[in-house]
Amino acid sequence: MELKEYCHLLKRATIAVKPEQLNKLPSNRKSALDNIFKKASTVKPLNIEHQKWNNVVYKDLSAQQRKQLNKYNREKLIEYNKAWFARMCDEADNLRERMVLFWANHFVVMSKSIAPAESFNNSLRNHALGNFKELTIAVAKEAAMIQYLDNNKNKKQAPNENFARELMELFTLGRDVLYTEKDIKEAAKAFTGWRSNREGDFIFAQRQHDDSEKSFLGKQGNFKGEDIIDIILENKECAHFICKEVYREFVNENINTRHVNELTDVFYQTYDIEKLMRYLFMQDWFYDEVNMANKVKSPIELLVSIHQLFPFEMENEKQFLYFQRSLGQILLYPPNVAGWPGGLNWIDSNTLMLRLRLPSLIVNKGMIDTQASEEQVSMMQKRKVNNKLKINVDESQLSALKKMDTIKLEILLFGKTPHAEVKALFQDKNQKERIVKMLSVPDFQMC
Amino acid sequence: MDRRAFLKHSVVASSALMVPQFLQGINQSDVSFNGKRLIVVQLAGGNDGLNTIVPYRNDIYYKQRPTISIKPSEVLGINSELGMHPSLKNTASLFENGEMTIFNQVGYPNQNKSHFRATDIWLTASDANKYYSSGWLGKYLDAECNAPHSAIEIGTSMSLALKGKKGLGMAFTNPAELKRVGNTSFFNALNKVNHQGNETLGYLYKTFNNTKSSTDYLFDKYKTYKTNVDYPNSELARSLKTIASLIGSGVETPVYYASMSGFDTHSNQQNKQKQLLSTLDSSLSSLVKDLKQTGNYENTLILVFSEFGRRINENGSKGTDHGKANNVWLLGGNLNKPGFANNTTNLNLQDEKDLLHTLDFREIYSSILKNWLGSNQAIIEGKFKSFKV
Repeated sequence: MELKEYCHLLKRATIAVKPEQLNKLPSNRKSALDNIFKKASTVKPLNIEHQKWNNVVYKDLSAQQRKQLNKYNREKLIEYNKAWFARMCDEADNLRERMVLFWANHFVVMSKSIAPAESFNNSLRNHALGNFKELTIAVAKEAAMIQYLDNNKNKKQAPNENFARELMELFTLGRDVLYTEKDIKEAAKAFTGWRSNREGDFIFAQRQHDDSEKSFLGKQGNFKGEDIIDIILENKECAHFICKEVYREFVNENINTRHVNELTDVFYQTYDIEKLMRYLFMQDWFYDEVNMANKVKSPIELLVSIHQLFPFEMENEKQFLYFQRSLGQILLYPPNVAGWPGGLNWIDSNTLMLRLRLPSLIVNKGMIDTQASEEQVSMMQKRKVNNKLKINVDESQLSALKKMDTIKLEILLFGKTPHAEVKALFQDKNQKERIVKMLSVPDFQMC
Repeated sequence: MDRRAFLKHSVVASSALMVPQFLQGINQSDVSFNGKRLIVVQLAGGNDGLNTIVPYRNDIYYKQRPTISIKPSEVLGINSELGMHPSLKNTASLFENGEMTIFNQVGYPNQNKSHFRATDIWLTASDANKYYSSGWLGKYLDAECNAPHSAIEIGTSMSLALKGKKGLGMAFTNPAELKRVGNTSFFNALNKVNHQGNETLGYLYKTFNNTKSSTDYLFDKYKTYKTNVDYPNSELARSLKTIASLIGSGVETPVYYASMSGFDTHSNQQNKQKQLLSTLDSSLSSLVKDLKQTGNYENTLILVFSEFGRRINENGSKGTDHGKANNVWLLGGNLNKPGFANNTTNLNLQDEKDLLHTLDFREIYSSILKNWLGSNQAIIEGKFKSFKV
């Protein structure tokens, strides 16, 4: 396999690329993909220690106890945010983790408690490359989803349509595709009684379930929630909707209808996610020039990609969250049920300037030019800018980067050879400075 | 537009933005500036409107708030039914002078009482069940402006209110810091790169060039003027001082944004709100004085809002829980209708102790966009009346 194609595959099929991954090129696409899918085949759940809530009834707690519980959960969610980020850095070459990140922005939830959040995240991990139907049923039964989209309030006597609506609009069909408001009402009935406890376990409350006959997408029956999901997936529109989302995420924000239809034909047969992804990464069009280095990295992808070159640790978790917030993506805190819109939405004046400065802030105490004017240096020192950020950086890969062949390094960082004028910006003799500058041009923002 | 269609639309919109000659720096014609400015002040956390503009003749108010109500003898009476919190001395005199408009019972149908959702709704001007990724002022920027400095927020990150598809709007704590950060020799060299790349990369370069131009423009203007008005020592005051200085220096930016947090007074509200409102009062007062001094008050409108009001009744901790409708203020030297703009607060209009709205906040937004900032574009979705500002 050619270097440029292989690097493109790694950048899309995994989260980020380490220099040493480019040392040996696989003989062909199939062998590259065999390796990627082999690595992704094991499931390692992501857990942190936390208390159990089996016997806690929120209503019975005093105001003070509630406050404490909320504080505990907030802190644990931050801990889980960090753990998830660390996982993505450790397993940046793992397609399964890439898929978790994708599905988390497809089946969007925001949980205020650690147990449901953790359980949901691991459910995505379990089914990330499995069968889409099983994935959909699994997330629908997760406490985080049940709480977030009010299914706990969805009872026979008083149906709540929130989950049924989003199931079709955002998770399976797309807005107003096939279904009507009547279908939403009928589907909501089928999901009555799907509840959860504080520990994150699914409970089917028979007494709250409406077992009357329902009419949904042209079918009649005594449907339960699972049946609704079944019926939705029988429609090819569902496969098409998911393939469009996959295409946007892994190939190009601009849809190529022919390619998406090809994917849909493959996916609709069995809804096997692994098969879909393997097919996608095998296609010649995936490696077309127009599909390379055309996507803006999400803030998390950007941070992980820097981490692969310069492993770093932020001592102060507030600073780490500050970076996520300022870049516009705090893990576990999506803006709403539609998730992060992504693409060019990541970019505004503020986020772009921070993105361009980010590598130097992490790697080089905020300095892009080591020969910055004396005035600047003294100003920085006076303001203690360098000391404010508490980041430990591992520079052990620097020597590998320095030694790397220029073309290879450019492919690694930019996906392609940059324009001559851009190249002229990093002709420094000082190798570290050269590399920091390479990370500071907009071309590094692409993947 | 619904959220999915919106996302789809955004792909088209963003590619349409790709102006080939992105190398040209921006200039003032890229800012739609009719000489009028809007300063938005957000009170985050849900300010208790009933203890801010107090219905001091109302029995329900005193019955529902046995310990935290403001006594009739304490309020700064501004008409026969409503009076201001005693901390709002300066604000009350602005009201007396005809420099303030108060809208009572502002909200929207099916009001949401979560801070996050309610804030998003106010910032994006959406219906309660719609989700937008652009803010109401972001949409204005998309429709009318091209330069990043068309909207400035004083703070470390930019509010959703200012976010639009074009990525305009800047957030910073002060222009000197902004300049310092962008003024490395590397960034200056990067700014000279004559490079297109693919569409997306080109957009990044264009955004960078525009940001640099705006940064230079702001710094060069800003350093020419220094205010001599005294401001109190608070974050809001510092933000407003920076805004007044930018305006005083002749920066042509139509929209400014600042916020103040801490209004989520679930317990021991009295002291907390007293301090909060006192800070707000003195900060606004300094801003107004500053704007008057530089002759900009007539052309400036200050909008003060919070994501929701609080419950009519107090809770068991001498505080108040999340409620619904609230009052909204406009301050300025050239108001069309100073005083109370609509009905007086009617505590009978309630739903389980939540004050219901009689005026949709989007009427205020629409009016500001159309009749103050002068935009004829349909920015606020839905049909809302607009009035003279």
